[in-house]
Amino acid sequence: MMIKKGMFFGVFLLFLSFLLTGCRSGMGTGTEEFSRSGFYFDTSISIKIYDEQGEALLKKCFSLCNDLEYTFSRTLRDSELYQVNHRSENQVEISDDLANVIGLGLEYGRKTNGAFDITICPVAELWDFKSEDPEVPSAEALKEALEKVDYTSVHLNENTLTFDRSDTMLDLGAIAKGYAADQLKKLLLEANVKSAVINLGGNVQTIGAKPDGTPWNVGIQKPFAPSGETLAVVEVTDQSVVCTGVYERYFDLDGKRYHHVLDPKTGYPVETDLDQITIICGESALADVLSTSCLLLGEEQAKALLEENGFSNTWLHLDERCAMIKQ
Amino acid sequence: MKKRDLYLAAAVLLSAGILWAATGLLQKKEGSTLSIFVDNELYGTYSLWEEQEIAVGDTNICSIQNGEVRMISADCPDQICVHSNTISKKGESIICMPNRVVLEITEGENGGMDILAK
Amino acid sequence: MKNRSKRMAMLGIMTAFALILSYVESLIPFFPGIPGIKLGLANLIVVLLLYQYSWHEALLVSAVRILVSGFLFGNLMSILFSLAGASLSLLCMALLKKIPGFSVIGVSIAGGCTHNIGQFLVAMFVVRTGGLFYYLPALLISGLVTGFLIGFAASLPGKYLPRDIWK
Repeated sequence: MMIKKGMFFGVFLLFLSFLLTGCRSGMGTGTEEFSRSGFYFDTSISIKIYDEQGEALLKKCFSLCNDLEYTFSRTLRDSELYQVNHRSENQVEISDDLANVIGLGLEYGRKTNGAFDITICPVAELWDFKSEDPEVPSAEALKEALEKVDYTSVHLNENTLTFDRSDTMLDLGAIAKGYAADQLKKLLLEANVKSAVINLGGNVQTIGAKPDGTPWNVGIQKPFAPSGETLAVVEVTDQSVVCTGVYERYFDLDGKRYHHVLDPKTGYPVETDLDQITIICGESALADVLSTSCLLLGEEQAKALLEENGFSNTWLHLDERCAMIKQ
Repeated sequence: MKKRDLYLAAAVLLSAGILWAATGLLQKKEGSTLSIFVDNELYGTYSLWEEQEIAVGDTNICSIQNGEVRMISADCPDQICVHSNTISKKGESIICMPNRVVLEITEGENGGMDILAK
Repeated sequence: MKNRSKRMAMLGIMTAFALILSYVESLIPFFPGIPGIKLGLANLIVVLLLYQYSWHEALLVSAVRILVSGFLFGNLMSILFSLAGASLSLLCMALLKKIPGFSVIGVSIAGGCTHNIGQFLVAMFVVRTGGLFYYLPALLISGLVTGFLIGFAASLPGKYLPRDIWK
């Protein structure tokens, strides 16, 4: 009798002890957090999903990231964009994803009168911001590359892309991450996820609010300060926060700073009165292209561009040369 | 097994439960800063939102990734710190006893930030 | 005298067993977050000795086992942890054993829990982080479970081994 009782109790205790070994974060709030990080789009990314299907969805998300990388990468030989840039004919059929992004890029080329130009690729390739021994490209090389920069020489009709020149090359770095974030959000929304946050190298897109119902607190990086130091923390629900700044990639040479936001008209880093623009709106691709465009245009023209595109005049200076616009 | 044994076991379960609830209540917030202590003195504080590897002296290396902290390498013989679970919530810690290194999640000035846009 | 040398021999065997259990314990992954914390398998020997002989023998074998296994497999830190855990545990078990109404299982549960509490106290002393409290519940439950299993195991030799093997 004693042994039987004891055995039962013993089994119960063993069961209890197993409970302890399998703790997942978030058990207290009732919604499990599934997160994973990786390296895509030339940056580190991380996705956090608050949903019981989290594990399976993360797999799908990262698979999607892989697919999109092979669509938009400027450097991967097998990517669709690379094939387009190294085409043999000046008319190519492209995928929906590529068409959407190129379409958006060309649209903003028009809206900014060329201040933003996705054909800047030949110029971009001359600059290397990651190098240990960075150099400023020669003026002749830049001049030669600049001749190839002209968004008006590219025509898009549904899925048919036509180039007037054979040496035109496209760089979609200013839109790709935003577009990817939107596609990921779409995937998760279709799976009925109510709360998630997608961070593609600082390009933030959110689904809903945090599991406890409170808005996401998104910090905005302070330019030229150590990563993690913020200008402000904004409350965001279901929206995307995208910053474009001159501080992300740059090098200093001979006392001058060369940052990565290149001016399609000069080939050199754009001279602007802004260090950073943050756009908050529902669509991440839009936020991405807008923030880059605004930075290139400078404050005055940027404000005009925003008003024309449905952003009320909510230009907020977070700092002298940093502004945030929320839709 | 006697009656009193069961009472004792129940008492232990109860105290464990109370402690768990108490510590759980105190730690509702996700931490935002990693504080590293060596020999009980503050070695440095680091934002959980920046992915980085931090060398603590020349004995330990830890990493912050995805808002979580883990010890990647240590020169201690037991390596328990390296095998510990990752920590991310305020109050959690990873300890390398032989080297007296403590990695603890604390609240920082950037308190309350869930994610960093840059 | 036959009894004394028999007892001596048994203590030697028990010490060896305790050492083996210590070693086996080091093979089992047990990472509740606090380094140096041990499962406490060797407590089985302590409980056996406590019941078959007295706390003197249990203390002797415990001390020898801890020092030897500390020098063989562990480090100064682990010896400190083991000593703290074992002393607190033995003290509580010896006291509880005197109270009627507790069987070997109850005593062993108390021993398992106090063994971990002792180790926890040493950890608190060395590292002084409030964060350690986070691990207490797991330590208590683990002490409870191993205590129960050891108490159960300790009652087995009494049933299946000949009585006179000890004395």
